Formats: sequence, C-alpha cells, structure tokens
Amino acid sequence: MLPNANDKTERYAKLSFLGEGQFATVYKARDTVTNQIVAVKKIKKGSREDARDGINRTALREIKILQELQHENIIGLVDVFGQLSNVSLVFDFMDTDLEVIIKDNKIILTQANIKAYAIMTLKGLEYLHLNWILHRDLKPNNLLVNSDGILKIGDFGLAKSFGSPNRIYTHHVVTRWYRSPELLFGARQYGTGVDMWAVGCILAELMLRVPFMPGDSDLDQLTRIFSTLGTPTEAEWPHLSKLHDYLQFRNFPGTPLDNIFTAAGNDLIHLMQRLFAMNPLRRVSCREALSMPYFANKPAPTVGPKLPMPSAILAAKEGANPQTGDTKPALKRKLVETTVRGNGLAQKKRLQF
Amino acid sequence: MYPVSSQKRSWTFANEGQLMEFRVEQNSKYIESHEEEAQGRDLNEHFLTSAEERLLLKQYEIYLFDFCRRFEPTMPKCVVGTAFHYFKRFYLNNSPMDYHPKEILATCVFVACKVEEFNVSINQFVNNIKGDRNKATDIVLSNELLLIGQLNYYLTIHNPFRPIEGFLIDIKTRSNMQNPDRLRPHIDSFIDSTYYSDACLLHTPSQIALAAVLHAASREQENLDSYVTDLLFVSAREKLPGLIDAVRKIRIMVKQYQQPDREKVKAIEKKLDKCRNQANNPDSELYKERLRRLYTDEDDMPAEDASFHIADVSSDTSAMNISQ
Repeated sequence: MLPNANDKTERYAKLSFLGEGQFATVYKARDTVTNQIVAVKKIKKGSREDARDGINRTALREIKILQELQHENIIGLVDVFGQLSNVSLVFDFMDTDLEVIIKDNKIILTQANIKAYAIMTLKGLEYLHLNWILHRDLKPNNLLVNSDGILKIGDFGLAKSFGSPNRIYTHHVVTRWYRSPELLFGARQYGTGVDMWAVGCILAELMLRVPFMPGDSDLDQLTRIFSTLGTPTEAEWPHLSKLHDYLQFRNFPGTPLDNIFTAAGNDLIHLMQRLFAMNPLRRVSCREALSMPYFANKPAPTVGPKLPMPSAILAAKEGANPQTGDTKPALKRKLVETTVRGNGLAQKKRLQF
Repeated sequence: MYPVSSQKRSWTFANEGQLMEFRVEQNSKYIESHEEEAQGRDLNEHFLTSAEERLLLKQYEIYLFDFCRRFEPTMPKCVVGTAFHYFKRFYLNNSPMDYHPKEILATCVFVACKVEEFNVSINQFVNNIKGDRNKATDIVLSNELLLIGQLNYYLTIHNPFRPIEGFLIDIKTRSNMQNPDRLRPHIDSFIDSTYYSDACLLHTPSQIALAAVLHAASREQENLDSYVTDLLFVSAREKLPGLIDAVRKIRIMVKQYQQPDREKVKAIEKKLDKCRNQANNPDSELYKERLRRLYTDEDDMPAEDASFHIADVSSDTSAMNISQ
C-alpha cells in the first residue's frame, strides 16, 4: 500500500518560501529522512470553479515524464505526494539557473565554462531524446545549476513523447527567442531539431551575454533569424514552402558566424553552424554534437565546483544557518519577479527553482 | 523506453497467481476492517467474495470499453489502452467494495485523456455520461488524486501500438507477405480482446503486439513463423523459446475469456450497494463531508459556507449511468 500522505507533509520540513505562480507554491524544504535540501512545488487544485479540469495538466505532464527519467543532467523528481485537494512535487533543490548566471555582470564566463555548460546540456538532452522525449521549452532559465556546478534541465511542463507515426503536434511551443524556423512556420510534425535549435540560441547567449535573436513577434523572430543566418532556399530545405504558415522572405545573405562570435574558435563556429542548420533534418543531433572536435579540443571544460556562481548565492551559502540550511532573508533569491521583456511589457517571470 | 520504465519495474508481474494473491488480499483487508457491519451475519453473505469482485470488475471492463467506444469526440486508441491499465492497476491495490468501479472507471478514462494529451475538458467529458453531470463532475474530480496516488504516481503507459507499427513496417520491408495492412482489422480486434484479460499486467507491449500480429496472420491464412525465427530472432535464438511461450499464453488468455453472466452481476451489484464503503459513496453524508473538506485548502481555515452542489440522486438513477 501507499505511504500515508500526512507522513510525507511532515517528512519535508519547510525552510523558506521560494515563490508562487498561478498553479503552484514553491518552498525550500529539508527532507527529514535523508537530510537533503529539496524544493517542494505544491500544485493547488482549489474550489471546483477554480479547478475546472481538476489536476493541472502541466503538473501531470511533469509527473508523468520525470517519474520515468533518471540522469545527472535532468532535474530529479525526488517524490510526489497528494494531500486532500493538492498534489506536491518534490524536486532536487537548485541554487540558480543559467539566465541568472548570464545576466550577472560580476561573473566572467570563460570558454571552458561555456564548454562545461554546453556538455551538461547536451548530455541531459541526449538522454531525453534517447528516451523519445522532446523538451520543447529549452531556454537559459530552464537550465538549473546547483552549488556543485551541476547543470540540470528543468521545467518539463511542455515536454512530450515523440516518434508516434503521423502524430500531429502543436507548434505553439518553445519561448519565441529560442524557437526554430520550422516551428515559426507552423510545422505540425517535428522532432529533436526543435531542441537543438534552442541549444544553439543558448550557446550564443552564453557567449554574447544577451539573447541572440530576441524577436518581439513571430514575424520579427523569423526576420531576425534570416537576417542573421541567411534566408533558406528550397534547395537546402526541400518542401519548406509547404509548411502550414510559410511566408516568403526577402533573400538575406546572413552574417558569417565568426563575425558575430569573434572570440569563438573554428571548432565552436562549426558546432554553431550545425546547430543553426535551417533544414531540421540537417541539424546536428546531441550524439553528433558531443562527438564534434569542439568538445575534445582545449580548453577542457571547467569541472563543476569551479564553475562561477552568482555572488548572492555564494554570500548566502556563507551566511547559511548550519541547523536549517536556510539563508539570511536579505540574500534569499526572489523567484517571482517582474521582468521587462523585449516588447517593453512587464511580465511575471515563470515559476522557477 | 519500456526496458527501464516504471511499467516494467513496478507494474509487470510474474504470473496470474501473483495477481490473484493481490486481489484476495485486498478483499480480505476490506472485510477485516468493516467486519462489524455484517452484524453477526455470515461474512460471505454480506460482503463480496474475491470471486464476485472479479466477476464485477470483468463486467465493468466491458462498460469501460463501451464508454470509450461511444465517446465523443472519437477517442484515440492509446487513451483506451492507458485507461484499462489504470483501471486494472487500481484494483490490484483496492477492493471494489471500497471504491465503486463505476466511479473509478470514469476517473481512469479522464486521467488517461489528460496523460495521453487528448484534450477534453471536464464538461466535454461528462457530456458522455448519463444522469446528473454536476455530480459526475464532482465524483471524477474528487477521485483524480486518489487514482494517481494509487498508481504510485506512475502515469506513463507503454501500449502495444508502437511495436505493432514497427512489426508491420518490418514485415513490409523484410518478409514476402503481400499487403500486410490487411492484418490491421484482426490486430485491432485482438488488442481490444486483450483488454478483458490480465495480459497488460503480465507481458511486455511488444509481446502483446507480436501475439496480435501472429493471430491476425493466422486469420488471413498467412504463416509468419519463418519471419519470427529467421528474421526477427536470427541473432537472438536463445530468447525465442521465452517469446513463443509468452505469445502462446497471451493468445490462450484471449481465447479463454468468458463474458460474465449479467444476472449474476446484477445480484453482485445489489450486494455491493449494501456492503460498499459509505465514506466513498457519493450519496452518503460521510462522503459529502469529505468532499467539502477536499475543496477547502488545508493551509486555510475552512470557510463557513464551503459547500457546493452535490445532487441527491437515488442510487438506481445514479449520476454515472455508464452501464446503460
């Protein structure tokens, strides 16, 4: 039989409040059995009127997928328990994410650091793809990093099994700046290439320290992609014009990547070119990417504990209460914050931990 | 992937005897904890026996399939397969005297719709249910968490449909059979028949898929023996005897299935009305109180008027007339 849910609520002792979203509240907690620090994401069901369709579908998707996965570079779903009308998901506690690291101008990201983040992202993603799962929402703030410098792919709310013959998928996935051209053209059938394109955008952002192609509409996003990388032709991407939302663009020649990423070596430029292949069938896979010269060449990737951490996290670690693992309130990372996006509108940042 | 899945690890069992043990144990547990309700009468007269529970659940599996078949909009096959898995798993851990199969059936289908990305709202869903739809909504939504908890939060189901497609592609490519697509109707009807057996709790999706393909081939007077031995298992001969045994067992299970006697089932249902757990009966005050608590956030003080409409419908016209 199943363990009593009440035992579980007592098992995870709340340390601090981390953030709140539309469907969930997140707490930092200590597992009193293992002494491990965890993040507890409590999905609220609420009244019948609020619930409408019962358990939140995004939470169900996360439970469904993460219960089947176990990999060093994938966020761990440590436990799940229900109590009355709520279900709680217990995750590995992660100290920060790549968006915070990229935006922290006190941090210098070396080529070795970037290589380490790229390897961990690709290893986690390779495992997902080998298990027939598309993440479909890769972006810097979904690449979580703990104090040991281990990167884990998080937020599986849009993830989906793939590979079923003739299965039609929605193209309204992936945050716009990281969305591949086939998705922007309304492709209803797509594969691992959508995640690989996002990896290319993230790698570019790690080097530039700003989003690579921050479009403020789907049309603007395509314009930015083609003006930067060149407009694709039917020769290099057969049946391109048959895509559901295809639009003809003027012929942009594009800018050579080594003119954009001046600090990058030829090996990295070659990887980027393969990640940014317009034709999704020609885009590099995780396995191919990991075996490219870039990862074998010097400099070697930085080992986890030597990777940079935001100063607030380091200060918080030093000021941690050894009894509770809790940090000084002033140093606590605010997880729900208002950010100004490319369109100038203030938006709630999505719940992260 | 199936070899490292929770389905293989936690929900695939050694043999039918093991399943019977689980079911007998759940039956005994329920009777032990509700013994005083028999008020001195013979326990077998008051409570359902394990055999009666099996018969009842067999009937509700028929209702489950009919409900899915008639569902509008048309339900994808994977949703049906997943709902059956959930239903069978739930009653390995629970007695139908504790949770009425009519209510669990609907909840299994609703959760399967969500998990398999067949996006129907609760309103669309209950439009497929006869009777009081508000009550049906309350029942399904209040049982959702119970169900996923009893499934140990393992929601991914590996159905045989993908391996079936793989076999058909392989047969087209490597065997000399003409037009393998003509096997499809027989394959589909075989898979439908497996839902009434315990095959999905005992065998892998690819074994069930192969059993379906071989059954369909024999119905079309085709022989795929050489395809299996000379092509499929040419480099893994040692695995062949185990596979042949599994396929044989699956086909026997399907062949031996007998529809439950409707009159016997009606008598069991009458008996169930008297011995079911009132705390889980939507028409009881106990249940209504539990539901009121369910929709009150446990972090807040209970609201004074935290009640909502639960239609009072007598049991003979209960909300979820899936069985009619």
